[in-house]
Amino acid sequence: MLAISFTWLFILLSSLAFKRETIKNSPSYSPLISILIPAHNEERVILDILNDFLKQTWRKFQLVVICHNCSDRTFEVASSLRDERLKVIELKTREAGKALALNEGLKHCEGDIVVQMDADNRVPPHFLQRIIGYFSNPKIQAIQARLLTKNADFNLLTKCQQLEYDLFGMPFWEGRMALGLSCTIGGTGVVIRRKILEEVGGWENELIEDFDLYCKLTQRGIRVVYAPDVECYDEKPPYWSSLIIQRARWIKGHFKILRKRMFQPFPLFDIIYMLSPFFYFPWYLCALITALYFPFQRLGLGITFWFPSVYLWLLSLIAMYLFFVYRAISQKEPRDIIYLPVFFLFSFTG
Amino acid sequence: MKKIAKRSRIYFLFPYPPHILYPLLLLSLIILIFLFTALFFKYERGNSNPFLSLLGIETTKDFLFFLLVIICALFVLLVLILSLGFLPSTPSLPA
Repeated sequence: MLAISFTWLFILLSSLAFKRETIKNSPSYSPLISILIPAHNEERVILDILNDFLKQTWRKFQLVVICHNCSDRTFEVASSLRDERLKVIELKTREAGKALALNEGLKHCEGDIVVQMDADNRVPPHFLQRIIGYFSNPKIQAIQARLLTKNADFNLLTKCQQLEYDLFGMPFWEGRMALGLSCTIGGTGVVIRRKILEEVGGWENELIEDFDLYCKLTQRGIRVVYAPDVECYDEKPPYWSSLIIQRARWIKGHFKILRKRMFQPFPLFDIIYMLSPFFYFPWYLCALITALYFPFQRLGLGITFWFPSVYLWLLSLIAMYLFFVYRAISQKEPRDIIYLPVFFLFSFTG
Repeated sequence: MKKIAKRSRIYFLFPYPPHILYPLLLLSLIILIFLFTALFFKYERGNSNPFLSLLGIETTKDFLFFLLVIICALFVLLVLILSLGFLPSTPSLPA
């Protein structure tokens, strides 16, 4: 637990040395971009993202919407838009899984660059233009957009998730970049050259297909670049039950991929990242020991803690708290400091 | 009453032993943090959500998960407090 706390802290502090990748705007570079939008019962939100893309300043793109096992009117709603750049596909499969829809969509992609989005995302009008800025550098093979929270104002839970991304998630990616590592993939706002995607065989139908893709890219030595100026607004679960289901799926998927790729070669930091779910167990073990502390004392089975480790743990928690305060101020959101105590409580389980 | 009076002499401020008092105080603190932050959020964002929805609670399941979060936070904070020796060594409880 101490090891994971200090690794996270080290990566967070490294983010202070993060410098954005230099963007070359070459007017001669004008590729077609394919945008993949898998949708499962998204009739409520699908038009928003499609309209966002149709308003882009970069006009050379192709939109591929894959309505996967939809039981609502997603297909009809998406098809109601008339634009030659829009292609809506209806996909029915026995199995469930976002990867199936993405792979089906990839077959219809004609662009050199593939953008993977979720149907409930929103993007600003300069989203594609900024992507082109990065990809005009031939060394860049894949980028991860900055993930912002679309529904941060809905309730305290979505606010906590916004803080989690702004104060922890994004600095974590920046820190990895500053250390010369690859940025991990966030499941949406991912942009990859089509050639690379085809080489790695697209997505595999895993619970967290994004992490699996990240593993495949890392093993081929492909570095995912974090692009903080390419913004993608993502919708977060607004209620505890949906949040816990989402997190449980992430942990289960993480273990599944760990089991699958356990004996494959990975850089050290990626091994730590892959093993991180194991480090959560000591955390809950501590909680259990605490719960048993007084009953043990009553039974005459006194237990003692190893004090230095607890002091170090507390030190790492305080350092993280101070880092979050600094981050909130540097992001020009000082009012977020007021939410830090509740965010800390949320993060004990989140 | 006699028991409480006897305990008051042992535990100076409150007539409860630390293994009851500290979790209770922490629990109250955690709940207060949640409630005050939710109120602040409502005020700051002009949010019209009902109070429970503001805390992310819509169904009974949400409420149970919310309680789970509070219990986990309580445990983690207790680990810190106990481990760092903020608590006095437990006095022998009255018979």
